[in-house]
Amino acid sequence: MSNNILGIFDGSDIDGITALIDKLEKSSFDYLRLEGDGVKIAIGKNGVCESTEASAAKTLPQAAIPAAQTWAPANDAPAAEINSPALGTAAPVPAPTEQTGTEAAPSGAVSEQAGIFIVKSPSYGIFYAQSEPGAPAYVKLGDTVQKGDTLGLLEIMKTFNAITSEAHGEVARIHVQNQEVLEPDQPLFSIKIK
Amino acid sequence: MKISRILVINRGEIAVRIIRTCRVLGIETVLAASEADKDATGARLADKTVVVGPPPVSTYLNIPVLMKTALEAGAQAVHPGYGFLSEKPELARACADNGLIFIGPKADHIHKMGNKLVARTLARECGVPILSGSERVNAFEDVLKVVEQIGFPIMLKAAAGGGGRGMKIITENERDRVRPIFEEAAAEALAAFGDGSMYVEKYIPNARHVEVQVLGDKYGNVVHLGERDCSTQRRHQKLIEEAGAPNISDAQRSEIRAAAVKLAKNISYESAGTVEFILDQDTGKFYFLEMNTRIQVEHPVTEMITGVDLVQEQLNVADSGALPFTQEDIHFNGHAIECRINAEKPEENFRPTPGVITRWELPQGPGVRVDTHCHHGYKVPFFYDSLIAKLIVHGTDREHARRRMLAALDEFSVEGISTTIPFLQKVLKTPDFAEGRVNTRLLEKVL
Repeated sequence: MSNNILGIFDGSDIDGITALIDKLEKSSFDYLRLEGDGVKIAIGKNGVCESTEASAAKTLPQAAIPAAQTWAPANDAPAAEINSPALGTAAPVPAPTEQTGTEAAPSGAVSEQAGIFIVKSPSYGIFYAQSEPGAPAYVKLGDTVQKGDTLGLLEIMKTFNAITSEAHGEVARIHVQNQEVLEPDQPLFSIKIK
Repeated sequence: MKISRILVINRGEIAVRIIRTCRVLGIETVLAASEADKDATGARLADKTVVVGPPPVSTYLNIPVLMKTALEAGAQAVHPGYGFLSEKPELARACADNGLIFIGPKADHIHKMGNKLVARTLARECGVPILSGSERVNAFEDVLKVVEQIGFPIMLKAAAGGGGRGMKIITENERDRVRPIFEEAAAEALAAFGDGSMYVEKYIPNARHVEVQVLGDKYGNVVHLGERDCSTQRRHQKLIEEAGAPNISDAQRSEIRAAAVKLAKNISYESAGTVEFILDQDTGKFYFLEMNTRIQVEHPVTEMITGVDLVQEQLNVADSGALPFTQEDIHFNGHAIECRINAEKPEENFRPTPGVITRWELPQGPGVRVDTHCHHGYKVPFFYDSLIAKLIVHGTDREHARRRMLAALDEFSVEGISTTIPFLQKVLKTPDFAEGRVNTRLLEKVL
C-alpha cells in the first residue's frame, strides 16, 4: 500500500480512519463527523451518509417546521424551505395478492398487500432520511408512526417537502436509501396498519 | 486584455449570460457543468464543456475540483456567476492560491459583507443610515433589552443570513413568545448557515426594497448605475424587478445612490456589487440592509437603461482595467422591467414543475430580451432552482415597459411544464403595480 494514498492521507492516517470505522460500527451511533485544519472526515452507517460534503449541511433544512409553509422559488438565494402538507402519496390498500409474508420484493417490485400501506414518492426528487447530516433518521424499522408523521424529506428544485405517513402503523420495510434520487410512485415505506 | 480564456463555474441562465459577453469580447469559455446540465444552452454556447460531477448542487460547490478543472483547461480566470460559490471568500482565496483571477471583488470584501453585522458596522462608520437595532444577541433576554430601546415590532436576523432563513418578525402581541421565537430562529440559522449568530433590527411593516448597482475598480473609482426596485417578492424571493424605482422623489433617488457609492468607496470596492436598502414608505427614510458582492439575477434591468454590459465591466476590472466611464458618462434612458419565469404551478401553491419542455417559443420585438438556458426539448432538472428564464423589457417610461411586458408574456409560449407566466400577468395587471404602488407585501393581496 502506498504511504500517501491520493496524496492526502499517509499510512498512519489510514490506520486511524480504519479504527474510527471500526469504533462506529460497534457503537450505537450511525454517523461520525470530524473536522480539522482543512480536513473533514464523515463516516456513516445504516444508510446515514453525507455524500455531498459541507454543502449538504447548508442546503439541508432544519427538521420538521410544523406550520404549513408553501412552495417557494429560491433562485439566487441559498435558502430552502420545508413544506409540511402531506405530499407522500399513498396507495390504497389493495386486495390480497398471491405473494405471502411481510417481506416486500426488491426495489421496483414492491407488492401491495392487505394490511400494508405503501407510501410512495409523489414526484422526482432527492430523498432525505434525516433533517440534517448527523441527525437521527425520522423513522427506523419497527417504529410506530401516526397518520401525518414525517417519514423523510423530498427535495425538489431546492424546496423541501415532508413525506408523511397516511396511515397509523408500524414501519415494516424501508425501500429507500438516504439521498437516493426518487422517481414518481417509487415505493418508500411499507407501513403495517395497526 | 490578459484574460483570454475563463472557466464559468455556474449553470442556468447566468452561465449563458456570461458566455455571451465573452463571445463578444473574443474570450474563450470553458463551462464546468454537472451531468444534469450538459444539454443546457450554456453547454452549447461555450467553447468547451467539462462535466465536473454528478447532478447534485454539491458539484458546483467543490472548490478543489473546480480549481483543478480551471488549471487543466488553461483558463486564467474564473467567473462564479451568482449563488453557489459566488459569495464564498474561500473561492476567491483558492483562485489566488492557484494563480487564477477571480472575477469578482476581493476575498476580504466578500468576507466582510457576508457577515451582516460587520456590514452594518461598515455602513454606520461611513454615515450610511442603518435601522436601529443591536449587535449580536446571545439570548432572548438580550432581545428584550433591545426592545426596551427600540420597541416592537422587531425583526430577528441571522448574521450569516440570506434568503429569509433565520428571519423572524416579532410584534407587540408576541411579547411573551420572544424566547421560543428567538431560539427557533437561531436554530434555523445554525442549520442553514452553520452559524447561529443573531441580531435585532427594527421591523418596517410598510417597506420597499430598493437597491443600487455599483461598479468599482482597483484604482479607487466607483460609479453607480442607478437603482432597482425589487419589492415585488414572494416569501423573500424577488419575482419582478425594475429600473429605476417608481414613485420616489428625486431627492430620495440622489440620496440613496450617493449612500451606495459612499459605502463602496469607503471599502475600496472592486467589481460589480449591489447595495440593498429598505425604504420606509411611512417616513420616506431609507436604511442599509446588506451588500451583495456579485452579479445579481436582476442586473439586466440596469443594463437596459444604462447600456452598460455589467459582465464586461466585471471582466475588465478583474483584468486590472480601469472603469471606462465616470459618473457623468452614465445616462439613464427609459424604464426596464424583469420578470423571473419559474417552472412552478402557482395554483398549486407554486409547486415546482421539472420536466421536458415540449414547446418553447420566445417573445421578440423591440425592447425585448430573454436570458435563458432552456430550449425546445430541454429537460428542466429537479436538482436546481426553478428559474427557467428572465424576460426583460425596455420602454420609454414605466407604463410603456409594463405594457410591453404584458405583450411579451402573452407571446411567451411554453408547454410540457407549468410556469409562473399567468401569475406574473395577473400581478402586472393589478392597479397597485400599474400605478407603481409596489411594496414587499403587494403579492399578499394578489395571492
